[in-house]
Amino acid sequence: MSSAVAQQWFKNSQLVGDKLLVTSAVFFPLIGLCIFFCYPLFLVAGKSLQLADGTYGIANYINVLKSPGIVKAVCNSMVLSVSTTAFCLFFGFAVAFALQRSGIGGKRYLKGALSLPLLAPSLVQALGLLFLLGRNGLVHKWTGWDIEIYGFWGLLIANILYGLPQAILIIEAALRQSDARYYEAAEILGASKWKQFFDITLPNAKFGILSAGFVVFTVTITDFGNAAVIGGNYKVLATEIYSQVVGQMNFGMGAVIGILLLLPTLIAVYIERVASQKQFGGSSESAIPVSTNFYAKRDVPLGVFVHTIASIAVLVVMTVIMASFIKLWPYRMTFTLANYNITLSGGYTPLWTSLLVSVEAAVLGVVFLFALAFSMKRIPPKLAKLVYLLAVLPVGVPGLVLGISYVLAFNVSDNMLGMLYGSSFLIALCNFYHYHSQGFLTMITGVRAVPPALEETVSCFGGGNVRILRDAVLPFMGPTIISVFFFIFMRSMVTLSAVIFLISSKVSVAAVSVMRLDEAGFTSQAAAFSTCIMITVILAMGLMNSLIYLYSISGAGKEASSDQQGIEKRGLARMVDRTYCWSST
Amino acid sequence: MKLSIENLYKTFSGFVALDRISMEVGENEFVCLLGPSGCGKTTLLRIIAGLLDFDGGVMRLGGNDLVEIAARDRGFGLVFQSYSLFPNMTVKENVGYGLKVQKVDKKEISERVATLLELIKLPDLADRYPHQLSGGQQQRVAIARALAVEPTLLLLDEPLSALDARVRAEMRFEIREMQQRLGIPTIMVTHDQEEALTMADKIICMKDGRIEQIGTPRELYAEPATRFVADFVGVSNILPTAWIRKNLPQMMDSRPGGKEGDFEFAVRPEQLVVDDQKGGAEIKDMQYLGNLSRVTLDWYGEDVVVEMQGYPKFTEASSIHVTVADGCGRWVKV
Amino acid sequence: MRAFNMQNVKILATGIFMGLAFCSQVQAGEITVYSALEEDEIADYLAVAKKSLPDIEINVLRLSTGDLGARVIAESANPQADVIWGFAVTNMADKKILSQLEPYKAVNSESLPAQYRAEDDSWFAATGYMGALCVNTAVLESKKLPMPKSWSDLTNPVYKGEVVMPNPASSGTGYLQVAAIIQGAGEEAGWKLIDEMDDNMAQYTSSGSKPCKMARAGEYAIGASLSFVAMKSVEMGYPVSMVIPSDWAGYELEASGLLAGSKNKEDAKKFLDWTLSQEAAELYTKYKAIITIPGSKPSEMATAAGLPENLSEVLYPVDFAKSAKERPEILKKWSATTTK
Repeated sequence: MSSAVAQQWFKNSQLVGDKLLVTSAVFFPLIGLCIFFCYPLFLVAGKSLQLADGTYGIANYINVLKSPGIVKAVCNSMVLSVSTTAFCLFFGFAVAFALQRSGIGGKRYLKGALSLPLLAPSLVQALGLLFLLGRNGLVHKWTGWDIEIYGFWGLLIANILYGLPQAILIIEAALRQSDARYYEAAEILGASKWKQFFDITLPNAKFGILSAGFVVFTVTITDFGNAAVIGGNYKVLATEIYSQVVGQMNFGMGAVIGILLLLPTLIAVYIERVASQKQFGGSSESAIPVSTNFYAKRDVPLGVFVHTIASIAVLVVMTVIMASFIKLWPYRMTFTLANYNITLSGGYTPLWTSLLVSVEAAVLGVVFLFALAFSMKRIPPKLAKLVYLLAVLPVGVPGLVLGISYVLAFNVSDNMLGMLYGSSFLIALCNFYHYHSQGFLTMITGVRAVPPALEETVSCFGGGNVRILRDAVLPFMGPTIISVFFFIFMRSMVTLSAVIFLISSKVSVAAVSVMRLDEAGFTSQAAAFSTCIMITVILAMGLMNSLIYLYSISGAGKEASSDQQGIEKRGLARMVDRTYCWSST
Repeated sequence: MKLSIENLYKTFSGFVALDRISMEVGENEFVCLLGPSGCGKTTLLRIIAGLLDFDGGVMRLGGNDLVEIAARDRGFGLVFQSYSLFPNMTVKENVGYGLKVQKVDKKEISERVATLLELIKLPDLADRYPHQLSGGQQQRVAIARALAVEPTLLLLDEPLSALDARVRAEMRFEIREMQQRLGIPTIMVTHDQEEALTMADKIICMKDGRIEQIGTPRELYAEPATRFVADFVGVSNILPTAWIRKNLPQMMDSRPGGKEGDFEFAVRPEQLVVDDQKGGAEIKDMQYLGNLSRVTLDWYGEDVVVEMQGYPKFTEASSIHVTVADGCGRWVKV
Repeated sequence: MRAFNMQNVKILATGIFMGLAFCSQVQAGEITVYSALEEDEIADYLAVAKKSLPDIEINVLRLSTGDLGARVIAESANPQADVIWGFAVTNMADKKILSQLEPYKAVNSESLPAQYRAEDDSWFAATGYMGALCVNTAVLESKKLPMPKSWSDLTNPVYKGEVVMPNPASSGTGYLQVAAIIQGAGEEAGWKLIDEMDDNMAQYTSSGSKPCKMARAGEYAIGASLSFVAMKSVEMGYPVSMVIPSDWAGYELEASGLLAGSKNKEDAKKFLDWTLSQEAAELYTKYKAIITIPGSKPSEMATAAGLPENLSEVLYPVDFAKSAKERPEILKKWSATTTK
């Protein structure tokens, strides 16, 4: 009697536990979003309505829309963003495909090379391009060509290099899910490899491609760093904000442009949502992963293409690293280590602060984003739509605007939020929310890899959400979670535009040091410090990778090799087939 | 066209998956590859389809050596265990896919697809997506897709294993009927002997990568060559030589020569006759199945199962007499 | 869920920690200074200041002029700084910043000529910097271009595509150059000059020091920037000459002031007094182009540039308040004139 009661109680408490899990999985990240994104943004919107004389009205909006350069800036921004997106999707898909599905060599090198633009401060990228392709750059010196790198083309290249790794991140998450059986079916029906690619691979990756396109579009349209260094006279919206806010201390106008930049983001979200409606076929639990065999006809050209792109990225960064060892580029090309003796603005201390901040941001980010992605399927659809919208909005806000919004929101003396101001933790939060969208989109693309039947199986065996999480979801999500972690970590180490407003006389970060060194005229030292940042990041990531590897070979590894995953999947598949819960009707 | 396979051999890193497989599939023939999990039947099917290479032997279709023809050029049809319908295409698009690949005229594709949908009795589902269909419906669409390209050979990989019992029974009939009507040579892989018995013209029974026996359903049932076939196809009572020598010595005459353990005696439950004379067998268990009764007996120390019509007259724990019906029972190789 | 509880604990702990840290910040003897002076000068000045003011802990946050202004305005609801030190006057005079200052008559400030301090004493300027052309002699040589001496020289078509200048909309340096030309040459002649220069202008950069950096790297022949960057470049060994335009030498004063929201006004005032002291004036000679403190030696930079001892002879008396007020119109006219 009592055992029946106990069982019932256990079932009930598990139900309650389940509900609690889902609720908190949605609640805490949402609260975070509201406090650390929506509220500051709301204050900025308020500023945009605040006129020069202190009253409120929409005069700022009217002024902006009437100002002569704005139409050109809008057109320029759109053209640049659309072209960058097109290139990034094409290149990014090629690389992601090469990494996930082909048998080309040097995959580890490729992954590393193409992450370089992510872990280098934006100064490095721009500087590298200038050193290489500038009017007095290496290419000009060696070939005598007169390349006009300033302006649209230079900006395009810089933005492609910056957006490409982010696109690859998301598309890879989509391509990771593969089912060899569709390809076999098509093969038997007579489809050539190209046809299989267009009919199976592309449609299955549609969701990832669209998300990647969305991300590249918005990071390009909000980018200011590249535009400032290499944009020349090609005016874009983001530089307009900078002019207004920093050049003329005109917050109202700057805020207007910042809010206006949300428009293309919203439109992009809408397009992406509508287009991904028709995406069916998530993974099946008995999916057999596609083997990465080497097909010469496909893999040789693909390999050449992909490695070329990677070498451009590497070349740009290597040039700057080299320059850090040069006494006076480009006039006195003698080797020296003097540039590494950095004593200005706190020396190397900000580097350690950056490390701490970045780890905080990455850990917090992965936990919150995974919670959100996991719970998206378990909450009512209307709420899910709202959560999705809020979660992808941050990418539409330029870093500059985000930074100011944080000052407005947290520089208050009379409440608990104010205690965060001036702390490194706030910088961590800001960095996380700055890249919230990219992390979120990668996570939900990866979550689609979890076969629904597997979750059902665990449920049938009486497992609550915690078990589902542990036994069904996490094993499939391992690589995605890790890639999001590293992404947030890398970006947090080098992002600049938001954190300028959050550093204090006592707390500063590495990216700011680079900026300061460069502004003070010590460009070579800035290059040296950037190199130190990159090395620190690579070392930190190497350390984390080995920790993960050690964990995976010791226990129930989350990061199973693909063979092991295949076996696991097939074993589970047989179990599922025989479970009476499994019904295909 | 006839498919002929001689001495096919396949290993996976030292593990022998298929050992000296020789078989034929004639025109209009429905052949079942029957065997337990892991016997190699699916591997063999995939090799025939061209999805897997093999290490030795010859495979010919109508005289052409298939080694030189890639999977996509063989013109076979394959229905997967999990159907593998393309999730982003409608039923219509799925079925017409093979024809689209062959660049058949659009109008012709529509007509053919419509005909096929009629054939599988799902004309109204043309615009649905696979995830909106039931298992049985997906199964039929998968078959239609395979048939659309008018294959020279139809391959079915455990097509009914994921369906529930009632639908399975229906589909068995329908697949068989379709095959006979279209006259396409077909190979079906299954582990369900009842399926094989009801659908096949010829059964190839496999175990551990080897062929145990090839024959019609009747041959396999009535004249099993090995102990495995006797036990796998239908139910058999297997009695060791020593026991036969002692209790049914008259059967020893038909025993082929050889060592003690080389052969055993197999007799079907319905081939055992029971009467209530005294002697020899003790009833252990009785199961009443309506038209049949199944009685488990202890017969001179061996457990045997007897099947009889109707309801037995005796009660449990009584001692009864068992004989083997005339001309029944065979010696099978171990 | 366990993980989330951990997060909460963490936030709480950080909050408590920050709260404690915050408390300790508001102790006497500590001031926060926001400055737009250069990094290395700040380091030098502070070293000396610390010896003269041993009881005060001086925390400096250095930001570029534009960033600094934006920061101060953003923090206006709850100012974090006590003192603004060495900040472009044109920006200081902006209402949004001016309104946050508290007038303070620093020791010695009456001795400053009137144009170097606010009427109501809300700010004073001890130093200043000048606009200057960074000319890359190597490029001049290889392209056989003559050495420019003035803004008017830059309208010479031989320099087409070899000149860069900061964008006055986003850079204070750019603005001071434009303002100097307009105020000095007068409206009509000034805009004509800018228009003609525009034909030769390769691009307008968003940061003030960029033109000089581009010029010294050999990207362009001439970059209009600041004297400081030019001198630095020469010092570092680049093939650069610093040229102060013989017509309309633009300049900017670096103002300092006390923030009304300061929590430690006593020490802040002591610091401000120090920045006007003779001791400080000696330090300034090493770095600054313009030193307003009477009786101080002329700066090394000014001497190197061949400027006379009494700078007020050469420096056009720029009306900075007017500059600040007219900024929006000037910028509008500028974008209309330079249709790039």
